[in-house]
Order: sequence, then C-alpha cells, then structure tokens
Amino acid sequence: MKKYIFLFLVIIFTTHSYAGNIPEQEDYIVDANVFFDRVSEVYEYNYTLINPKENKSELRRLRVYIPNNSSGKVLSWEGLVNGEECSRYFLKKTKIKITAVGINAPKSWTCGLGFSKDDIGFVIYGSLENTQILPGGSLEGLIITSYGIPGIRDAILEPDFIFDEKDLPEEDIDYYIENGWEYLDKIYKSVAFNTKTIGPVAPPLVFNATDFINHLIDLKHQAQELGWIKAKGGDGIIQALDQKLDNAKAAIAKGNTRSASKILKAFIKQVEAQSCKTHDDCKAKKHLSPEAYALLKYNAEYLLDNL
Amino acid sequence: MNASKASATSRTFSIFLILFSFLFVLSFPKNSDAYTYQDVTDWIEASSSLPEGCTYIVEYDGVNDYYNVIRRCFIPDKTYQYEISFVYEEKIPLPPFGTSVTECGEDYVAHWAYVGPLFVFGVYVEEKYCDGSTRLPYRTNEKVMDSSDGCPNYIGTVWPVNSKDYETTCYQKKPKVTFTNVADCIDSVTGDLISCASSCDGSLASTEVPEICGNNIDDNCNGYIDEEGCEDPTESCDDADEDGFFALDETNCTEGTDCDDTDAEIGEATLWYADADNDGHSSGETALACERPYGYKSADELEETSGDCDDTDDKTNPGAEETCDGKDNNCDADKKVDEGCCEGRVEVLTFDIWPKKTGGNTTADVSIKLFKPAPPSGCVVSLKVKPPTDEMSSGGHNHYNGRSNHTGKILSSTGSEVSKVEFKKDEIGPKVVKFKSSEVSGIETIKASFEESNTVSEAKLVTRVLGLSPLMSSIYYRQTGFRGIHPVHHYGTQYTRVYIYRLAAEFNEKFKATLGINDLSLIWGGMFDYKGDWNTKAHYKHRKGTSVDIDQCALTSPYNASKECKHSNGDTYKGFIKVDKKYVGDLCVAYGDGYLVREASIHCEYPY
Repeated sequence: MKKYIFLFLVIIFTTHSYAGNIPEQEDYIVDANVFFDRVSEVYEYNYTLINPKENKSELRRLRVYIPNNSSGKVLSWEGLVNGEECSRYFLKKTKIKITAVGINAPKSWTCGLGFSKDDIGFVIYGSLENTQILPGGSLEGLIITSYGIPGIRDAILEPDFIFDEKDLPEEDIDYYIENGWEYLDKIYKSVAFNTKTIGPVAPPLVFNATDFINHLIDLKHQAQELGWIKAKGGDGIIQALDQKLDNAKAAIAKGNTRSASKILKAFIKQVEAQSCKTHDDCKAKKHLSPEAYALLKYNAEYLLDNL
Repeated sequence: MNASKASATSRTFSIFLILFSFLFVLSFPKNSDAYTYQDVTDWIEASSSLPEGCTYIVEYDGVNDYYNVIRRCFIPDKTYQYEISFVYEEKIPLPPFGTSVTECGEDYVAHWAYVGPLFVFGVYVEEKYCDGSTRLPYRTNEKVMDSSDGCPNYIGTVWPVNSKDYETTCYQKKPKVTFTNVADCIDSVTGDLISCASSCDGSLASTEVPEICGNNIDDNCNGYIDEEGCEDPTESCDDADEDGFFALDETNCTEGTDCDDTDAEIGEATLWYADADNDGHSSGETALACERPYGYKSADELEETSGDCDDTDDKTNPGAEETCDGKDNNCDADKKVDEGCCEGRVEVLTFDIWPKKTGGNTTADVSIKLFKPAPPSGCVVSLKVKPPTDEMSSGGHNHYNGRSNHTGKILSSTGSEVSKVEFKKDEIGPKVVKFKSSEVSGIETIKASFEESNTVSEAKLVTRVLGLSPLMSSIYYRQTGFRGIHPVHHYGTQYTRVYIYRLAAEFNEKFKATLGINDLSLIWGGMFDYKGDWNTKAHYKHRKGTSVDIDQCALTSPYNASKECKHSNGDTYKGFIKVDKKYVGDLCVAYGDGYLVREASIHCEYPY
C-alpha cells in the first residue's frame, strides 16, 4: 500500500501545471546533406533548419548529440576549424564524451560544443536575439566537419521560449524550489522537438567486416524506419537493397571479399541512382533521402575500403 | 603582613583620613544647599587626577538623598577590580580622594573603602578585605565580652587586626549585681531554679540568687561561675580498684565509667552509637555501656557517628547517593529531597542537516537523557529552538529581525510538533525526538530546560548545504550585487562555479566584455531572502549553489565609453553592452545542461 501512496505522490509532484505561455510542441525539420572530401578525408555535414509555416512558434536552437563511442577510433581534431560565430572555448581533453568536430554557423547565429549533465557531448546552434526562424522560414549553413563517417544521431530543435517564474502556479512552488532543474527540464523538454539526423561517428577501433556489414544492414533498416527510404508504390528498391546487403554479408562470411566487394559496389551504385544527393535537388521519384544516401553510401564505401 | 603591621596600617590610615577630612572641609564649597549632580562631577574634575585604568561613576540615591561616587579601577595584571566609594550627604564635606590603595595580594587587607563622613567631625571608616568581609579598623567601644572574645562577662574592647584575627583587651570582670525579685529566676511552670544571668543588670536591686552548679554560667550574676554551694560531682563516686575510673553507678555518681571497679585491668565503659540499619552511619544516639547494646557500634566501626537521618533504612545516610525516590537519601544538611534529580543533557545525534527544500537530509535525531532515573513525580523537559544571533553563525544573513520565526522545529516520532518531553518514574532515557530544519541555514541551538531541577542543557547544530565554495575572482567576470544584509552571496557548487567560468570566458571571447555575476547562494545555502525580509519566495532558487543571476549589462573590456547599455530598470550604463540573453541561454545549456529562467536578471539554473 505504501508503494502505491508513494507512486501517487511522485505523480503529483512530477506533473507540473505551469500555466505560463508555453508554446505547444511542434514539429520542425532538420535536413542534412553530407559531402566527403576524399583528399582530406573530412566529411562535411551541412544542416538546414526548417520551421513549417503551419507552426506558431519561432525556432531558435538545434542540438545534435555526437557522443564518442568507446569502441570507436579516437578521431583527430587536427584540421577541423570552427567558424567565426562559433565558440573557441572548449576543453577537448576532458572526460566529456564527444566526437572531434569543427563547427560553423551562418551569420547572426552562434554555435558551440556543449555537454549534458551526463557529460554527453553535442553541437549547439542558436540564434541571437531577433534572429529566430519564423514559421515558414528556414536557415541553412549549420555545418559540422569531422573525420567521422555518417551515423544516425539524436537532434533536438527548440522554440524561442524562456521559462518565466511569474507564471509559476502556486501549487508548484514548493516542488520548484526544491527541484528547480528537474522542473525546468520537464517544461523545456515538453516544448522541444526530438528527432534524428545524421552526424559523424567514429569508425570502429578494430575493424571487423562481419560486424560492419551487420552495422550497415542495421543502418539501412533504421533509415527505412525513419522514412529516409521510401518504397513509393512498391517495395522493389527496399528488397533490392536488402538482397545486396544480404549477399555481401554471405560473401564476407565465406571469406569471399572479392565477391563481397563486387556486391557492395553494386549496392553503392543503386543507392546513388535512387537517392536525392541534396535536399535542394531532390526529384519526386527518388526513393532515398540525402540522409539515407549519405548513410548508406559512405558506410558502404568505408566497408569496401577496409575489406 | 602580620597583625602588628596591620594595626600600624590602620592607625596610619585613620590619621590620614582625619587630615584629609579637614582639608576637604576647607576645599569643598560650603553652601547650605544640597549638592547637585553637577557639584559632584565638578568637584571630581577639579580635585582629582584620575589614575590610569580608573573611571568615576556618580549615582544619586534618591531615597537617602546623597550621591554615591565610585572610583572603579582595574589593576593591570590583576584579576579583580577595586572600588573606592564616597557617599555625599547634604552639607557634609566630601572625603578625600587619593586614598592609598593596598593591592589584594595577601589574605587580608585588600583595599580600603570608606563610607563617610556620617558625622560632622567624625569619619566612619570601613575596611574591606579580599574575602569580602568588612571590619572597623579601630578599637571598638567598651563592651561586655562574650565567649567568642575569650573573656566572657568581662568588660573589654576588640581591635580587628585583619580579616581573621582580633586583638582583644579584657579590662575587668563585670561588676556584681543583685536582683530584686528571685521569682524571676524560678521557672513558673516547673518551679525549678533557672539561671538569672540573662537578667543581670546593674539597675536591679540586690537580691541573692543561688548559683546553679555545673552549667558553667554565672547564674547569680556575682561575677563567679559555679562557685558557691557547688559541690564536687565526684564526691559520691567510688574507685575501689584504684584504676582511676569511678565505678559505673549512674544513681550516685554521674562521673562513673568503670565497668568493673573490682578489677584494675577493666577500665571505663564504651560510648556506643546507634546504627540500627547497619549502614555504617549513626543517627547520633549514644549509649555508655560496658557491653554493646543491640543495634549499636563503636566509633571505630562507623564511618560517621552522627548524621544518619533515617537509621531504619540502610540506603539512607550521609554517604548514600540521592536516588530520586522521593526521600532524602543523602541526609544533606538542608534536608532536600531528590536534589540533583531531573537533571540531564540534550545532544544532537545527527550532523549535516540541510535546510528544508534544498534536497538533502533535513532531520536530525536529538537525544534527551537524565543523569539519574526520574523520581516518582517524573520530570518534564521543555524544548526550544533558538536561532543564531551573530553573523558568524547566521549562514550569511546579517539581519535578525523576524529570524525567530524561521527556526527548525522539534518533532515527535509521529511527526507532530512537540515542545516538551516527559520522563515517568524510573525512566532515564535517552528519549529521541527529531529536529526538522527550516528553510534557512545557520547554527541553531536546542535548549532543553529540565523544569524540576531548574537546569538547562543546550546543543547546537548546523543547518547548511554542504559542498558550497566561493566563486573565485576571474578576468572574465565581475562579482556584483553586494548588500550588507547578505555580505557573502557568491557561493556555489563546484560544477556550477566551473560552468559560470566557462560561460563567462566564452562570452568574453565573443563580445569583449565581462559579465556581471550577481547572486548565487549564501555561504551555507538555504533560503536567500535578498531583501532581508525573510520572504521565502523572494528568490525562489539560489538555495543550493546551482543558481546564478547574470547582470543584463556587461562591462566592455577594454573599456569603451561609447558603448551604452540600458538596464530594464531604466538606468543607462556607459561603457557597458547589453547582454544577449539568448546567447547566454545557449551557453547556459552548452556548459552544464543548465536552463535559462526569466527573472529581473538573467538566471541560469544548473542541475548540480
């Protein structure tokens, strides 16, 4: 019985009734295009923020989480430059888990590296005052450069909102006084839009072709689930991609790298043929979004290069 | 100092006083009006140089209509003060100042203090001694001496030579007087002859009164004790065995003590002391007997030969411990019952109490224990929490009005507030109650009043948020917002202080300006009523070192006078730039996962 009472109390105290002007949670869009410079081996992740015109709130912040994978290579910071609008002050040699990146932001926006209370690193882009993205507007030029290959990353887009204490309801005051950050965390998270995008991931520290083909297959499935691969009238493209990946996996399992290479090249060609390379140049009949394109093409190429 | 020296001192002093009395008769204003306060203070100023370490205190005694002037001095390297007092009466010259003072270095003649003059041409002098006693430092008038003087019924005088000793002179025996009425010496009830010594008075006519033998009193006031007609009390006693002890025969010989007057080897009887309860302490009742009476012991067998106030209870005697049972167990002189009972101590058993609403432990166990089991009537202990009253223990609040409403509370085990704890018969404790902290930090005192014994025990405990340290100074920010009522308010957690540093460094890098870092938390955290009015909602946060306020205007660095910042309160600051709240909000998020809160200033709230 005591447990139920405790649970009830927890529910009461953790359900805020903040009555201030909290914008409703709305969907925003973050498009990602990836370019790879084979000479420098640097990937450029170029993000575009879109605030759909149906929205009411103004979009002012993007966070892309890029924690360092403990089983991944330690990537170099060398040659990765931050733009003028971005922070210089970040301790690279800390316990904070972050993938080495360079960052850049369009004028009137700022960018920097940050970390959560759990020391998870992220890239943060934000507007200065009066440069938020209005409904129907968009902003491009939010850039990450890295030696990390494309992977699926968490992203948070946030509206222009600051919690105001004067709107704090009387019944929430005690809880707010004692648990201020938690209270704010709930409110800020309730207005934030959580989504996925692609960002740099350190390749594995020890390469294993079987593991990596499984990783590639997993990426393909996730991309499909995220809507980055669309059947559009039939599932032929999906079956074709799956079949190639399965055949490549079987070849790798047999140690037949030559056959595996051949199959992967065909896979890459099919991805290139069925993808929008960028969001600006995306024809309607293409099945793969730029995110899926970058994800599958560059990971398949990495696998191919390391067979 | 010996007695003769003391006498010499006193004589010298008396002469000294008389001389100065005459001097002051001449020097003091001789008007017939009563002296005023101004007269006295003027006189002090005009007639005396104040020795180092001395002050004068003038007090008017309205009842007796005089001024009391006290010269109060502190003697360097001594642990006491001495005072010289003067009483000024109307129309009476003032006594001299500058009277010599003898330091209290020996066991007598500490210092001179004198009150007077009470007579127009006389000086009343009184000596004060280190032990606090007083003596008249001159020979007394002739008086009839008593036994304490060493010569009872003599006429003599006494000269006190120091606080302990007297020099006594006995002149002659008091003259013989007679009585007019012998009936005065007859007990009206019993008809027995009683002493007439109390009626000895020269005014009474002579009538011979018989002397009562053996009472060592001059009953007939003839100047002799037990003289006439008093026979030898041993006249009827026998000492047959010639061993020097008279035969034990209470009827004829009150002096008889020989248990066997036929055997010279057997001498006097033993004085036996009653010890019925056999506890080694006698009630003082005795029996002179050759054989031990039942329930009696000799003096050698006893710890004490008297004083047992209950010789039927072996738990009751002068050596017994008072056991809080409603009886006088230790037979103390003033016959107190259960003294020392219901005394005890209060202790705090838990440390590291956090202020309420700061997320830490807010309760402490408090133990109340009696030194002895409670008496049959029980004991009541009142409990009270006292707030800090000085800056050092206030937790950062340099203001106190109304603080008493913000102390911790004493709670019972069921959580209800209590103000007292009761001990029933034989209970000794400890009894444990809870201290529940208030929202304010500081050192509070739990006062336990043990009502029956009228004793008090106190225990202190510290209510504070642990782990707070001051924000160090930096080239990247300025600490602002100092107020007298909260002199230190830049205390934060380790992480928060680092996050603030990074935030300010980043801001400085981008905008070439130093942020004004305003309120964090007080030195021990807890409620931060920034207006000093104990308003719990004044600063919702700022309690556990994870909140920081940032000023809306940042100082340009290097200073650029052409820049201006208009604060939300309407003031314009030259050389400052407006802080981009959104950017600071992003820095608050980036460095430490903080959140921006809209307040009068820019508030960033960190998770820890």
